[in-house]
Amino acid sequence: MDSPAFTVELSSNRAAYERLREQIQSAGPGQYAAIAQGRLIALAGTFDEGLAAVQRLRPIPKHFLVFPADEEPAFDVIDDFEQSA
Amino acid sequence: MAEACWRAATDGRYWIDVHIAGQPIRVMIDLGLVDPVDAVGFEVDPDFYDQLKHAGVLSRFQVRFRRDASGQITRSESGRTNAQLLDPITRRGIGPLTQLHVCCGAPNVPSRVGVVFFHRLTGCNVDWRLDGRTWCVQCP
Repeated sequence: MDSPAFTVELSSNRAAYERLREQIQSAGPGQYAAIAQGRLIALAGTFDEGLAAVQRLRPIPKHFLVFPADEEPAFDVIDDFEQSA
Repeated sequence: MAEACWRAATDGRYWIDVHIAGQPIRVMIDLGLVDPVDAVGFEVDPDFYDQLKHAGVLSRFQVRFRRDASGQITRSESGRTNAQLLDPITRRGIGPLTQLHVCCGAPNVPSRVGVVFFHRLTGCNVDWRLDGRTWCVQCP
């Protein structure tokens, strides 16, 4: 994955979350939020529905978030150094 | 203190036994598996992950991204469940029952346990005996 483009999209999605935090959290427990392209793509009843909404986008986003609406999303990347083995 | 020990495999890798959502699994210790937000403790084989997901024992799903040693970034998903160390001799749980995220790994990469799991073992010690090549965990 193109790292500079990933970083740009991550920043855009982080800004979107900060802007939309109250709206997302008011969706309440059991809902999943999907953010991509710097905007809220969906509030869905399941994780898989939120993921599907993002996967329908074109172009396919390099970075996006799908997370429980009543929880903070994880922006940080996991270090996974065995993965390249 | 109760103690459980695992000896290094002949290839030098260390594998320990855990219960993830009550399912026994052997996972390789990977101190390079680090989640800065202290959530993901395991990365498991995709088949095992799907088994957990379909059994309904994962919750609070999130999309996560991971960076490998070459700098490549890939997407995965994780879900939260409980996990506990499993004594390799008695096959009983040892130490606290933890709540953390399990990430879906890549095919043909061993299921692994990262540092977040060990950080959740409140009150426990890890004793890595280099001469004997054993990884021991002591818990109250």
